[in-house]
Amino acid sequence: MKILAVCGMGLGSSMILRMQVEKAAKALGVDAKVELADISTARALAPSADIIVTSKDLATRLGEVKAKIVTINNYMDVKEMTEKLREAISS
Amino acid sequence: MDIAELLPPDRVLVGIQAEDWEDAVRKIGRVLVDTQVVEERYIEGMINTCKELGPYIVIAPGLAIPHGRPEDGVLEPCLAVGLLEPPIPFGNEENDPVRVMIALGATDAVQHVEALRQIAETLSDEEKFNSLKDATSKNQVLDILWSASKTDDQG
Repeated sequence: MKILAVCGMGLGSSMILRMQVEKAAKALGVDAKVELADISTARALAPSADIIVTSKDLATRLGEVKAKIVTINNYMDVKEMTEKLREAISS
Repeated sequence: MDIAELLPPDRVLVGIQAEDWEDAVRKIGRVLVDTQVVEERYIEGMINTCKELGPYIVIAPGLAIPHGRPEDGVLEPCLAVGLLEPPIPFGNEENDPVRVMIALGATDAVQHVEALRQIAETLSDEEKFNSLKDATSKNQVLDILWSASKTDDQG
């Protein structure tokens, strides 16, 4: 499964997202490859991703993509990440 | 690079009073300029990023991570932490108001990653995150944020 972590510049929050996605995927027993993108490259990378993880703000800028979009409010909450990822994977 | 290298004691500021989010970012940006790790123009870089991309920099309840681009004048990888008193809204519905600002200066996509990982590890612990929001002194802030540090000279 390929997961894209998207932030504004690919420097700060997407790095934190990737760490938390990796923890959540491990907890769910999912083999996930997590890549980083900034909002300007995300659209180009989106077609190859199964799931996109980002903030609510940035999700509205992604436009229409085929991948499932997971929006995270609290980047420090691995529980929120795990629950939302589980939902996205099973739906 | 380790959190203790990127965040020395002279880049922690408590009790920041700000008029609005822009003023708050300017005040923490000033700490980076004064410690000579970013150029003056980096402050506007951080503010412009927030204006362009929206309040996504508020990544958890009460926590914002203002940052600009490496080419906005970052001289070396750096962090600064500021506590707002009182907390200030940044325009993020779920996570306002902001109490803790962790300002980041990155020179590339690599050197600051270990420090960010250490911060995420520390603040994923709700108890530590709450203690950071309740902190009133520089030493309290450093005790919490350096707790995942690998260096021997903590505290």
